[in-house]
Amino acid sequence: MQRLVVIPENCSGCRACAIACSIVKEGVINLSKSRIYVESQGLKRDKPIVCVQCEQPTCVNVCPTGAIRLNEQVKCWVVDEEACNGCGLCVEACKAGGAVRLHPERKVALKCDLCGGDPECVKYCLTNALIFVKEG
Amino acid sequence: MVEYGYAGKILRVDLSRRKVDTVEVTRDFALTFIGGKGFGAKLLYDGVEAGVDPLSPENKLIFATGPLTGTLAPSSSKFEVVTKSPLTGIFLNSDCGGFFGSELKYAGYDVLVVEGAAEKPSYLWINDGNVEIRDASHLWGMKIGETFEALKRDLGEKDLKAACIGPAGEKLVKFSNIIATVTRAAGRGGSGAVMGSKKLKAIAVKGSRDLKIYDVTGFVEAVREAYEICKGGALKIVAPLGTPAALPIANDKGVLPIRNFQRDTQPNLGVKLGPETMKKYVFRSIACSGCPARCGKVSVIVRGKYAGTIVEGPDYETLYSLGAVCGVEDFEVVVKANELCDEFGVDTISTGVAIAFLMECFEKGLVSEKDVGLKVSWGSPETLLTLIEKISLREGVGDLLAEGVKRASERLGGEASKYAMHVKGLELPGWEPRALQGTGLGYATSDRGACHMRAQVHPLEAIFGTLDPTSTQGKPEIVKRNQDLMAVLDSLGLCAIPGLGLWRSPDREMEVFSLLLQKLTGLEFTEEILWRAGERIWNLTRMFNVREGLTRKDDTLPERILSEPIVEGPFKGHTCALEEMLDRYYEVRGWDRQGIPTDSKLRELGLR
Repeated sequence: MQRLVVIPENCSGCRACAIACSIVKEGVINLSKSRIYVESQGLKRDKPIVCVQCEQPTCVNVCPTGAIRLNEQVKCWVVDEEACNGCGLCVEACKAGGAVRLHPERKVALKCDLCGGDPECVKYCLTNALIFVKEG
Repeated sequence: MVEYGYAGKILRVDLSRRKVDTVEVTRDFALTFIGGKGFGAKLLYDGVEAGVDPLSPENKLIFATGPLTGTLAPSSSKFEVVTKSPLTGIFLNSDCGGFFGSELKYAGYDVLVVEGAAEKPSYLWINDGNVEIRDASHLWGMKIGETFEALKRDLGEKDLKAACIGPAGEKLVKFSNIIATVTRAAGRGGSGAVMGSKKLKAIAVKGSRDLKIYDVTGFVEAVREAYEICKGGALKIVAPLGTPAALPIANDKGVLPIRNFQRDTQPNLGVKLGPETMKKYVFRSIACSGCPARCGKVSVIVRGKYAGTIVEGPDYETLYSLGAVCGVEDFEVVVKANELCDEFGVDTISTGVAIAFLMECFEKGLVSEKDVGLKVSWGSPETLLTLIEKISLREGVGDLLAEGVKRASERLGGEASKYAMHVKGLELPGWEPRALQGTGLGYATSDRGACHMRAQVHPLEAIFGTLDPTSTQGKPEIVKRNQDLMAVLDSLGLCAIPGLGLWRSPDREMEVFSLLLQKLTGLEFTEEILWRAGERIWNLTRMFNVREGLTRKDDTLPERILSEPIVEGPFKGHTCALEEMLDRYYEVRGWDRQGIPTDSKLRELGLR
């Protein structure tokens, strides 16, 4: 699998990753529609939450419609929005804790698909809190 | 209505009548005043008549974001608090980073205008289209940190964005501030007291509306380019060390005011208060919304007397005001003092300069231990920390200092005014204007009183060395240019710190802003339109101040700066040659010799 590795100690909490994600994926700025977001603990810590592309993903296992599938080319788990019924079981099941959310309007599962192998969020992370690890 | 980049609405809350309504932002309003400072200035000029008491319900408290606020543009976190200042009695815009401004836009509002005053302590809860005025009796008296925590519990939002006042704002301390998530301040000029006078403890906001972009691909390309320019500039210095990186430079160059401007350099102070010491305490870097600069350094004290102290900072200005200018040389004391100011909600600059004023009055024998009820001496941690609390709660001598050094010196009488370091009532920031001529002109002509952020000449005169600091030649022109540029920056929702990154590429800043704006909004924000808007905004704030009775005599500097030469260091013997520059400044501004904008200038800018 290819994946994003999060190093929370490096995160400054600027949320550029989340803003970039919503622009690229949704064409608007709306952090409730981004595939990555930042959880803040005030001065103490900020932590980006994003799919870590589990080897044995619980979200895939619980999906009743088989909507989360392996993309062989990008080597990551991708939601097929057509197949998703918006039941939200994947949201509950996520082992990474909150890396899958439901789109507030379309009610389909939202999770990181690595932008087809060139993740946009990483380009705005100047603190190396997000690192794209390619296979091999 | 504007559709892209802007949220498109102004939210008006009348606390007296408990009424809420919205007004659309028109295309014409956007192109004429941009946003942020410009929007605020226009709404304040039209909405607050001359002579209104800043702490009366007739004053307005405006929170204005810019078109770039909350976007992906580098350093796009800012909102402006615009009001009539209780400290100076004139126009005030005080900008603030953090996450409140972006969230306000995500909720669908470019601007929030608070009018009137509540009968009892209240707070606002803005959740997209739902706006409620709620009871805040249980929050009244709380410090900043407690207030945020209580709001989170009340509303069940663990990542709540809010702006609030501390006990100092409630007590109408004239330089109390407004603190926004996480710990960023609209610091200067006493906007906290205006909020306190309206009995408004806090504003909590949650936004989940779409902010639309006119040309998504074009905007992303423009952002990438701006990032590249920023990376090559001041980010290199600011990202690792924050603004304290400038402290050893200022001390070495002899432009760091010490002991109420008695001296401007001191051996080893750059080490004691500078990044070399700070590094031992910094545990992480923290950024505002969409900002790659992460200039906020979180300092933690783990051992000793002040163990458990945690603060975002101190920044350069705080190391000056709660350190150098009070004769304090112990970094830990500055950290503790900074934490107290942030918790009570007072501006660190004005607080430090007010305390330094009292220290000098004490030294000169104008006040005694009996008068003030405590021993006051240069550099004393007890003096500093005790006075911060007394000022914030208006206890004893703190009640006098809470009025700012201008009023305090008038009440003390005699020669006290010689030691009151202010312009138009606003206390001086930490760059010596006797050494830096353009900086002096900038302080004297700033629209809110002594401010280094309006003309931004100090980086050129003191840090980068691109301008001869002792020369007055060309300074009126550059002060005018930068004031117009900063009026644009403060209207866009951008911060000046990465902005400095852009400034290292001379004359390119407006090109970058113009491109970002056009791709974001689809409006024809050409460079020429932006420059013109910057000049228009500056003239409008001047007209606000002129309407309040301001003239040339107010565009001045403290007596010490004009007539008492620097005693030692590289600039020994220098004073600020303000008069030499002022005539020329008015001339390049198109103002008359009294500093009043001429009819033709106002007509040219569409202000008459």
